[in-house]
Amino acid sequence: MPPTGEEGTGLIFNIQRHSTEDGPGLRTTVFFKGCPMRCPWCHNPEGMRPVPELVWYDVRCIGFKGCLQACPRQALEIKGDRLAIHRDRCNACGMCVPACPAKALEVLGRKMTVSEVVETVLRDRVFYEKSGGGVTLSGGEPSMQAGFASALMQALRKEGIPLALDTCGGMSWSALRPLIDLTDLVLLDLKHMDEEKHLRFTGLPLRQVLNNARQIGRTKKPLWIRTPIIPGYTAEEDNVRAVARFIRSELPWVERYELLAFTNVSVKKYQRLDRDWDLGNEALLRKEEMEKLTDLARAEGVQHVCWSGITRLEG
Amino acid sequence: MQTAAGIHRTGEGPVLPYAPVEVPERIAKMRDRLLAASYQLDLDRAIHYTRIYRQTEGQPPCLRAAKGLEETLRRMPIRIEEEERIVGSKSSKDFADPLYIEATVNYAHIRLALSLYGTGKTVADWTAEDPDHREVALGTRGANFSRDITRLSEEEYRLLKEEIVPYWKDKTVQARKLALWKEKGITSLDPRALEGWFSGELPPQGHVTIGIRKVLDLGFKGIARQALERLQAFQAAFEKGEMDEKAFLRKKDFLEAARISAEAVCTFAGRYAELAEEKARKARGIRKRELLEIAERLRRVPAEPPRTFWEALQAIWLTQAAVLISYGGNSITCPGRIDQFLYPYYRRDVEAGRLTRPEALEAVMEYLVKLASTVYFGPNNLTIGGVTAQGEDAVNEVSYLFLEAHHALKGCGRLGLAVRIAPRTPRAFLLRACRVHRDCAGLAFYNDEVVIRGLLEDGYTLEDARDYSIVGCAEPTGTGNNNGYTATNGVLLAAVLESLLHEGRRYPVNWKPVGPSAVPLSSLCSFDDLKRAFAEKTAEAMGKCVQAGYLKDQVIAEHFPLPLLSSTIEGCLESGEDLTRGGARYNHVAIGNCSLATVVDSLAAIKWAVYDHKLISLEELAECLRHNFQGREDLRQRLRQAPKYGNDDPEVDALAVWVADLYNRECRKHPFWMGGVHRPYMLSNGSHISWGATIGATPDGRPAGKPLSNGVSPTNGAERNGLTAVLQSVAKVCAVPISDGTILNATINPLTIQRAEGVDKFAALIEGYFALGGRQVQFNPVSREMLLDAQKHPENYPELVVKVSGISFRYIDLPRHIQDDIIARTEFGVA
Repeated sequence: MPPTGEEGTGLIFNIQRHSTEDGPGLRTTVFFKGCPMRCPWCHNPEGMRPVPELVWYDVRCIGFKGCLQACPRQALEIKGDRLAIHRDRCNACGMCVPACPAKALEVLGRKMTVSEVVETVLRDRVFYEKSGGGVTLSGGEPSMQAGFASALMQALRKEGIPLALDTCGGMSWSALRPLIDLTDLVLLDLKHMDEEKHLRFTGLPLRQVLNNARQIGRTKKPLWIRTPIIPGYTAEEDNVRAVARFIRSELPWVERYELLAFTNVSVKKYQRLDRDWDLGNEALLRKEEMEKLTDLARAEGVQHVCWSGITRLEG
Repeated sequence: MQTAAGIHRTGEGPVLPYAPVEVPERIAKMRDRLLAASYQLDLDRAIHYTRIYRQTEGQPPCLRAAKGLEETLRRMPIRIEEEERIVGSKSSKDFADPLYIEATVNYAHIRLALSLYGTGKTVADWTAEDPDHREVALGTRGANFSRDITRLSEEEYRLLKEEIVPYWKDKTVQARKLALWKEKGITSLDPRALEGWFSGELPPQGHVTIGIRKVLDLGFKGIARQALERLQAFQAAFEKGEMDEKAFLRKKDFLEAARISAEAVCTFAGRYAELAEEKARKARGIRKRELLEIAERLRRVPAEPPRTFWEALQAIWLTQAAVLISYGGNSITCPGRIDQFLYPYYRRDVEAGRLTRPEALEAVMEYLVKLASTVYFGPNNLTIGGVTAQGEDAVNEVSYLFLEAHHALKGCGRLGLAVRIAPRTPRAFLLRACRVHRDCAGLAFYNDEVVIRGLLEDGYTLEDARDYSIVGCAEPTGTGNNNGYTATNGVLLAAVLESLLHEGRRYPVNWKPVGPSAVPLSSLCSFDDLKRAFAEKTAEAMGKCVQAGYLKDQVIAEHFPLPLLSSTIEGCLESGEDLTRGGARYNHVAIGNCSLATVVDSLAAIKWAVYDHKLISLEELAECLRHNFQGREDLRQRLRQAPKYGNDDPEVDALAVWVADLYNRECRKHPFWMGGVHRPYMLSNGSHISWGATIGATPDGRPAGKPLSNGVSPTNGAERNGLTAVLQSVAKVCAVPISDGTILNATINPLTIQRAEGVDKFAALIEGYFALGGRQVQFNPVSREMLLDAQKHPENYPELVVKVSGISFRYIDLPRHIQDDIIARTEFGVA
């Protein structure tokens, strides 16, 4: 099991209340920083690296320049009308953050204790109860911080909060298993059913993911399978058919199969992290395309298929 | 998955089968005609009242009012449209309101009509001409809405200019109020609330439910009879020496006026019956039969109690029309619990096979189109659902008919439905209401538990509290048994705070000193000192507001009685006293504020920056505010980052509760002269924008002149933790009995409630908020993109309705700056 962060803390990059996309009902989603996969379409790129990262929001910047002096490593520099972050020097110490009156700088990824996270997520208990919702652990990949995730889940179970675990499945079963035992619902991504493409796109072998899927199946935990539909990557009819066939033959009790339409709203996140993003200019999918893929999956005999996300504005 | 605003999630399950039902062609025709019409000035009422008042100089005011009404109802032109089955109109023009000239001659529309008539200039020219003519002058409506305001006949123009305005100029509520204030040493600072308070007369006091139940039970003939019987009883008491002469004569005049008014309504209905009969003679086939039915109904109601669903609807609408004529279109007189009134007739007719559900739905749609012809919001704000006076679930089939009709008509430009939700309300009802938001706005949700608790605080019995209706924008009151006065006076906390921070100086007068003694800032050594000083200043403004309001009420009681409306209200005929003199069973008056979040965030920012972190002294901060943060954008930004209300932050929320509690205590400590209480409200029908223009830069980082926060909502854009955190914060404030109403505005993307799962989550948000103790919430189901697009292409959005505080408006009727304010509200997806 990967070690828990220092003194029982986890590295969390967001706690999103009123979350409606990560399981049933109204939820709070806890986003863990660090992911074993490197999917080029990732819409939470700030969740990839398991360390804190500094970002600069151009729209908030008022040119006060307090940050330049505050940085002990000379990692910040004005370049034209932008602030450049020299990532080789920046260690995300966060000294520049309070120096900015407009909060244009932010360190993504905060060390939090279990009780800090619990305190926040319990606030919306009434909404979980009224909606059949709860708390979802997402990321990044929660199992990258399995010790912390497990401690958090145990604390929330004690409070009677229904849990969901959103996982990419890219780890050993022994690492994942303790978290599966603690959760009430698993949200598992099956991104691509072609061995070669899966490895090329995500950096990890499909085999491991499918093995975890089968293992989860054996535990009989409620399970939702999700496939991101990404133009040029996973948005292939054969791919969706293959996922659907796998579900029908190996996990026929899956509660729901969700197709998640590609979203380009993350383009700014990539810019802020100084990362190139090939998909930044990619057009959104058409509603008809999503509906067609949904129908294909249904035709393969999967019962509960749905799609969600933004689609292209027509007309 | 992290979601961004605007992303829609369809969830599992098919698109819901609850698409709006089809609107029958005749209803669609009436609706389209109404929506195509622009606002006109209706002078009929003013012409007749002016003539009668000239003739009755020296007579008791209530008799003059009754005679003015009698004359108007007898002589105003009436018509029956080809499509109509429910008849009666408050105006002879397509889209106009009877002018309550007694309130003021300074209506923006009168001034506009007088200055533009015959000049060839349009309202749009006029507003473009001068920044001061900004559309604020037209209230909350845009130039297009008022484009026909100058379409008067030569004779109408002459009468307005030479007869009406000169006669009323020094006799209106406004003129008499200002004269009395002056006499009593109250400087008139009304338009800008320089001392932090205001006491308006625009619109008239109004804000009451009409006694619809009494009209349905007795008919106006019965009411006239009751007036006569009461008069005989008082006569006997007087003769026995049990009553002094002055009191007896006052009651005699009032009861006589009530009788004349009630009979005038019967005459009015008779005119429609005759017109229908006359039209029937020339008509054929189905239309002939319909016209004869109309005539038959009008021969019966509202003079006698209705026997059928159709008669009941006709009686209610004609009563509303007559009250609007008697008290003016801007009197905010509301029908109240319409589903409760109509259900017995509906059930009886359906059981007897006289009525089918689709027929009833069509009748309800026709009624709603008629309500949508009211320009001022209130008469068109109906109440449905909730519990009965006995505490049982009150939702019935008619409650659903109103949801369906509202949905089908897509809110018809300006309708409101107050949807009462109690713990025992069936979830199906809440879900059906939520589904309406897939296609339109106009609904507001009320938490029965919290509202009823507030009304108990105001002195209502449990039964009467349970039987509440919503009046005006969002004000809970008894149904047909009270004098509401729910939105007449205000203490604007943002103005109080400004005066405190600038040692008695105010922004609208270029930081010149106004009002009484100032507290030196140097004496405010701790945040507690500041809070104490703020509390004292609030108390001071409240006291002045109460005094000014009292004097205004005396002017109204003395000169502007309301015999027709009074005749329907429980208590007035019984006591022989007009509504304006405290004749109703319950009395209360309200004092309101619209800037809660601005003030709370400002106090929180001062605590954070001045007292906790010592970034700046209070004097320096005030100086920066007076310079509108010029050269100190860094400070403004820091203040914007200070803790803000609406994020479920315990410390700021505690401050919000402290402010609300202060307001409530200071308000309630003043008894109301009619009996009953002063009760607080926190809502803003666009007033957060107009008042915002009179408030300089505030410590929360808001620049000078910008909108204040609305209702009890967080400051636009200050919510950083999502909608559930907003609901948590606001629910804490709702624990304070702000019983005259609070409004929380929220925005949801309609695409997120297309499927059952999304609707479920939406309903759960409301249920969660109510379980936390929230009082009221309303949603605009619009996306940012949609609103921006509607600004660019208004022609594509003829039906888009939004809520501006309590009031439903057609989006394209709103002036640009109010549209912008709605766009600035944070949008939350729910599914």
